[in-house]
Amino acid sequence: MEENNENNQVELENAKEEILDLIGDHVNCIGLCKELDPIYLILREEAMSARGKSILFSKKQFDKSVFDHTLCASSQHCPFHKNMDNAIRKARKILNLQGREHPVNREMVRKIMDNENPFKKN
Amino acid sequence: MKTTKNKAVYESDLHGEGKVTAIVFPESFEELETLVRISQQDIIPRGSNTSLVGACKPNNSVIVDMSKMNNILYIDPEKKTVYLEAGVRISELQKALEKYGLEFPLAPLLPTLQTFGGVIATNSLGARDLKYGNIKNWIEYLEVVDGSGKTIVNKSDIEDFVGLEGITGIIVRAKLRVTTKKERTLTIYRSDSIEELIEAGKRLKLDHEVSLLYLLGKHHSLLHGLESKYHLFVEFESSKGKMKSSEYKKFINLLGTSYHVLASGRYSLLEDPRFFLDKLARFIDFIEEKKIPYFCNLGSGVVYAAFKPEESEKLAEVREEVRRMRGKISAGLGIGIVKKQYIEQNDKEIIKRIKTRHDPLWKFNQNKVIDYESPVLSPQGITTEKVEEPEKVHKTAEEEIKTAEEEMEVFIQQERVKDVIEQNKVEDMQKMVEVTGSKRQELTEEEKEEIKRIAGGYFGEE
Repeated sequence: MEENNENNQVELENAKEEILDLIGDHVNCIGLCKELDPIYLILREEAMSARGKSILFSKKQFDKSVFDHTLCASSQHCPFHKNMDNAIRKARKILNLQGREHPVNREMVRKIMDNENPFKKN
Repeated sequence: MKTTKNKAVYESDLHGEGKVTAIVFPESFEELETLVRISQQDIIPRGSNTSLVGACKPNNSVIVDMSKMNNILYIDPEKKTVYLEAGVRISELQKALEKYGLEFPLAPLLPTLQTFGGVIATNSLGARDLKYGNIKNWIEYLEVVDGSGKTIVNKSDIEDFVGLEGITGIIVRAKLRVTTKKERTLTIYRSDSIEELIEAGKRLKLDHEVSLLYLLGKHHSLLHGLESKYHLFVEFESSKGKMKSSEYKKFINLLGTSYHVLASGRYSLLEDPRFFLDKLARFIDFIEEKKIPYFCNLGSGVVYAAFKPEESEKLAEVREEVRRMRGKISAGLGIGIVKKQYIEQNDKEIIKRIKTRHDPLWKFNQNKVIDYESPVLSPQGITTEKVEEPEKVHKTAEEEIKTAEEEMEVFIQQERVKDVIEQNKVEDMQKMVEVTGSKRQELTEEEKEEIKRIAGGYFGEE
């Protein structure tokens, strides 16, 4: 059990470092990603944009807003070549390891474990 | 009023970081008025935060994010006007105007990102400023919240807000003029000689059908996938140009991505000095020597020179050269925190006076454009406490009578002073009459005869 926790901790720290590699050192930008970001265009909140998330990640802050990202690759247009989609996948992993996973994800995992079918009704 | 806990996101700016104490998303004038009244801290209005000069960099500030106020309230196709909120993006308005056959003719640098609040606050130049000028010419009126609350700013006073980067108040709504959508065509001239293209540009400026003149440097042309030569883009509002419809769109969109291609090479900082066309070639020679990528709006003489974040020395040299050549340090990207030292003393005094008129407690966007210290704001954060009114002192009847008598005495004394002044005036006038009378008496008999002779023809003899 203890060994498992230690592994989790190592994996968590690794994920954090990997995110920093993906977003690079240049986080001060004017947010060209917001031109196309579908979530930002609806909610108009900086924290929901790829720029907002990259700033949060650079300060090692991970919250549940990473589950609101569509992973639609629109942030690939970033001229600073930040790979935000991969960074967000890693951030979700961190939240899972911390036990702060999305309830829908938890439900899906439970159904797979019980029925080997994520869509099976109870 | 809506808010968010993610302060860290708003603390970061292109020009560094600062502390944010609160973030608010206002949705009405009332909310903004309340915020301005109760806030004891620096208030920074913010749209998309595309500022290249640190106009939204916080410093123990309350961020007023206007992005959620993004409604186009109405479009009047007959009068060709539009009434909108500050958070609307340029591209969003263009899309809404399309079905009425209208357009907003200015083309700022980042139309898919810049909001009208920001464009108005910086008095942004569009790419078509040669024909359409800047945003100031297209404003009917503004609705703002300044130190005294909601204010409607008419055309005659809009300079108190347009171009002052939010230091006099928050732009909330605007009524703008729009125009009928034009069919446009494009021709691109290519040359190895910059002088040749500038000369061509000077001649083309006289053609009233030309609406845009953009010059790309050799380095910038390469970044766009063009040949390593100077390119002059000329847009016509007629069928004169060689590129039409889809081809036109392809190349005009290429101009729209100018900042993007520079940023992809880590050239994220942009300078926008402005010169008369006669000096332009000399300045371009200077920046080419320094190997600085640039593009240029020949219509207004603005050179957009790009720098990497670590090229601060090069940047300072260019600014110094602009000052030496008596160019204008900023033509539409703003002053913010990075170009304050280049504002002349007279301009500073005027800006200070305008700011004090609209923002007597100096609450808005502190230390942007000009340096100052607010006499009121404290680092305590927003207070929701009511402002205490002075206590009413209850007086007895005798005291009331005494006070009334004292007030009456002061009043009588003031009236006496007024009488003395009036009396002096009367005496002065009498003296004047005496002087003029004495002069009359000094006329000689001959002069009197002459006057009588001249006047007699008209008025007859006495």
